[in-house]
Amino acid sequence: MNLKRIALIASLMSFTCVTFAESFTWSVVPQFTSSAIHHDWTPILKELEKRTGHTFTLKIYETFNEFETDFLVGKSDFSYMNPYHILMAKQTQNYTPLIRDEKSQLTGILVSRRGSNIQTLSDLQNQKIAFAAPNAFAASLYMQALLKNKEHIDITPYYAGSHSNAYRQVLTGQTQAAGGVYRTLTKEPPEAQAALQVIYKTPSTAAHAIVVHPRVSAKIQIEIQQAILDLTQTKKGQNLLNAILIPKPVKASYQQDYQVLEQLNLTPIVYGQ
Amino acid sequence: MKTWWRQSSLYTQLSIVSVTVLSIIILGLSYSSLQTQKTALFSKLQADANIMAKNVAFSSQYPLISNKLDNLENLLLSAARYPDVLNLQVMTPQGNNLGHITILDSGKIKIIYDLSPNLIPLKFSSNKRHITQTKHKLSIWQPIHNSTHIGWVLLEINLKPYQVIQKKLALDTFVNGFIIILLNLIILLGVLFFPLRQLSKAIEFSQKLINMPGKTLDLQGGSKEVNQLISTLNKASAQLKIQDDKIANTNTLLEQKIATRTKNLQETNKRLILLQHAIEQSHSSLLITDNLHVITYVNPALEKLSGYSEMELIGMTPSALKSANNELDVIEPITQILNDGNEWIGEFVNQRKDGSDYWVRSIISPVKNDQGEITNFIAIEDDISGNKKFEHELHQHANYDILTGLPNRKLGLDILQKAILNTQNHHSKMAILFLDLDRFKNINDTVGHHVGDLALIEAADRILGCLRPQDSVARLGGDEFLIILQDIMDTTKLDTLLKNIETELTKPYLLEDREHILGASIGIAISPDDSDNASDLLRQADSAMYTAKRNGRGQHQFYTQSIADKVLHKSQMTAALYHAIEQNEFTLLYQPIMDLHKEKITHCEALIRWNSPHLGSIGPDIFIPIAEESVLIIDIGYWVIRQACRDAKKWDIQTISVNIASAQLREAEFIQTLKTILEEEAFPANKLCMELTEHSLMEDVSSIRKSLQALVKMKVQLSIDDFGTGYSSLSYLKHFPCRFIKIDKSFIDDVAINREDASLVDAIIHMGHALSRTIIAEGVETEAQLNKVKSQGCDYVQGYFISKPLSAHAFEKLIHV
Repeated sequence: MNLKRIALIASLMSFTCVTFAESFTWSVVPQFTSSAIHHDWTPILKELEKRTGHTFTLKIYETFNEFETDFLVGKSDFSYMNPYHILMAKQTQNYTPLIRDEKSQLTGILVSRRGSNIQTLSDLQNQKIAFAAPNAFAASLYMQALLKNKEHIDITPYYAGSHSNAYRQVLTGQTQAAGGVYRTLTKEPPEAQAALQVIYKTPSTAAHAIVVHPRVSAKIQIEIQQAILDLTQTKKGQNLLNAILIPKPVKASYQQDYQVLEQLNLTPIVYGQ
Repeated sequence: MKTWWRQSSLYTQLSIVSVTVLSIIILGLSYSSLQTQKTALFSKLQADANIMAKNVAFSSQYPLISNKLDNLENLLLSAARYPDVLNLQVMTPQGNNLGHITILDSGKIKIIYDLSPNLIPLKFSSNKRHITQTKHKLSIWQPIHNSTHIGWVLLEINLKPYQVIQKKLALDTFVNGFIIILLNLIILLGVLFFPLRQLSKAIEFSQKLINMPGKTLDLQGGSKEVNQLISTLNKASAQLKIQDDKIANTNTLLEQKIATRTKNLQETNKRLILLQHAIEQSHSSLLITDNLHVITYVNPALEKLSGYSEMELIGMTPSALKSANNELDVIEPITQILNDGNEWIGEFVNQRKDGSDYWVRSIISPVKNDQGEITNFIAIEDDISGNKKFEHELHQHANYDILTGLPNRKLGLDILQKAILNTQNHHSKMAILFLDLDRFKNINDTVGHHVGDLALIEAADRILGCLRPQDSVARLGGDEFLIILQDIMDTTKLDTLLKNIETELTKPYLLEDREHILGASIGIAISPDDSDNASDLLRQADSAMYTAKRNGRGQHQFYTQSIADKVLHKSQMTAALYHAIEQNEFTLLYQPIMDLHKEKITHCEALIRWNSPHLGSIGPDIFIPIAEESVLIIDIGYWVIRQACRDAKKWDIQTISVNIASAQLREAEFIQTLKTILEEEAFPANKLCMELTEHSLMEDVSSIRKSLQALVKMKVQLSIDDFGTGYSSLSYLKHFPCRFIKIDKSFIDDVAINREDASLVDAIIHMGHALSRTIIAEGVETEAQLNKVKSQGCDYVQGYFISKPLSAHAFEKLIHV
């Protein structure tokens, strides 16, 4: 840990020394398809570049696995991740949450095909359920923990790689149900939504946030933070924020918003499970 | 149909042809291009669909393998955006849908999440693509392979847009086609419109041209040809005007000429009318013919005179008017003279329509044209019937006895003179009778002169009734008549005539219901016996008459006794003849006939002689006529034939001629007997020639014709004797099958000295030769005569100059020398 702390301080220091145009990497969790993520995030980053003068390079990942691997070694300067990832990132690299949406909460859902014989949770006993990724926080991690510990439903998880694919697994009958979140479900085409029904949901938690690596100088952090917050001023900025699902950005705090999740004792599914 | 086309305007024709041709071409091309496009389009469509299906299949591999159904869905969504995609599905090999995109009619893309599996047609093999096609949909089943068959792509393409495109293409093409046709038509007709309009204007102008020469058409043609046409028409118009003016000028000139000519004609006409009146009103008859003597005009005077209307005469010749009673043929000589271009003046007799005759004195002249050719003949005739009648009456008065109509003394003496001459010429005889009516004075005294006249008339008639054509009677005066009997060769004839006259005259006369008896005293003189002088003869006859009167009236008296004696002896002679044959009193003499060409005796004529012991030597001219009066002539005839045959049998001559009387030919047995004689004497028929006189032939031709025909058939030669002395018509000669014609002595006598006789002989020779006969000249007595007839072409001669008749012995000697 010391080594890490030293590195962090060092990078912080290096950052505070220089405050003119810099380039930063920005990764986004593959909650959606790469193209969707690219589509949603590129405009706002461009706007931030304009406003701050810095350059941001968007990093997109196909799988959760890849995404996690990278942030665990602190590859990106900025990142947008789910709450569990925030825990992991804090613990490993000390990424700190910068911005989160004021209102939105994450609620994990279980969906089955409308009209199928999976109507209640009990119907899912020993069934195959598709999840986007093991560590998709609300959709997978929290959901599976609840199913196992609280609901005592044994299931066979299938990791589809993305929410979209997870839904399609159930839609095409490959699995009986899929775990997701509302925000991803609502992004599905109406036919898909019409063909699915929610049969279970988790308690809501705090949603995704933009986190920053400590190597980024505090000055810049604040700069970026402020820039994002300023986006609400304009309609264009607002739209940009809507696209990344942070319609009402507020300053995020680890202690206030996410620390509590530590108590859930969520174990990563991704390793060795 | 075809006439309609030919009469329609150029414009119409062009339009129709262009439209038709263009339509065919363009629509044809369009259709074929359309078909090509359609095929190409569909091929492309299919190819594109195939490629798309393939692409989808290919792209689906990874999502299928990695079970990334969201990627698959994205893939399908993007593929489905391709045009005309109806339905795009990716399914498991079993047919379970892994992704299903449908395009609604509205064009909206719909994702279908349907778990019901698709029915994959059994026959689909997983190795290849399968394409099915319905009316509106093309379905492509593309298998997805990744070394194994991992799924199906079902791509359904909507064919409706393609069909719509097709239809649109077709429509466009055809519309284009129509537009092209229309444009073409417009351009063509547009280009031609102006020239054709100008052309029709030019045509209009040309039609009016005829009536408006000189007018020009001032118009641009619109094309070279029309320009040329217009310029030509204008030239033609100008030309027409010039000609029109010329014609107008000529017309004016002509009119002037016509006026002048008309004036001249009117003057001429006046003259002609005057002439016409003159002719029509003339008292003289006028007749005009054309140059062929066809009547073209007669004046009213001629109509009146002839009794024919102009209509009846036009087209006839003047000979139609001639009377048959003209003495001479007038037509021929007149025609000849006229045709030679000379005038003829003369008189002839015409016949009226009613048949009556009238005399005209006629002046006929040829009318010549300027070239001297005869174009017409004009005859001016005056009726001289009156004159002629007067002349005739004068003549009559001068020559004829008014009472009896007989020739008067003057004429009678004339007749006598002529008769004497005639008798001399013919070496014949004539008798003159001086006849005095007995008891005539009685009638005059008792009943009156008028009855006496009646008696005279009656007597004259009776006398006339007894005479032959060659005889004449004249009233010398009072009750004296002179009768002239010609051709009295045999006295028996005379006897008969005398008897007749006497009988007739002694018959009672019924005059004014009273019977009277008269007689006649006749004195007879014979010429040349008694005299050849007229006054002598009259005197002789007169004295003979007085003798008859002295001897008691009612009888006749000959001047010469010998004749009387001869008459008395007639009966004696007849008796003597009867015995002559059996008592061999006849002999035959033979007169040679010489061939003038060969100068050799080749024929002879047998002549009979009678030596009567009682009567002496009597010539055949005396006893033959007597024999002819009885049947004796037959036997004598046969005797002659037989004797001639016997004598001539050995002679080297062509024929021997024997005289035959008509009485012999009339005999029924003649031919048979002749045949018998020839047989008995073994004499060839063709060596025998029979001579018949012209007289005897003329007497009774039909009854002897049979015999003649038989003779011809037998090959007996025939000969006409004394030719020229009879009245035979020449046409008869044509029919009489004689070989020889013997010209009578009377013609030969003066042949060398008299031109007329020579001409006659010449004529006879020529005529005879023309009819293929042989001519013998009789009575040749001088060398001159012989030479003459020889020069005239005569074939044979007979006569004293060659030889007198010889005895058989002498003749034989002559020819065998």
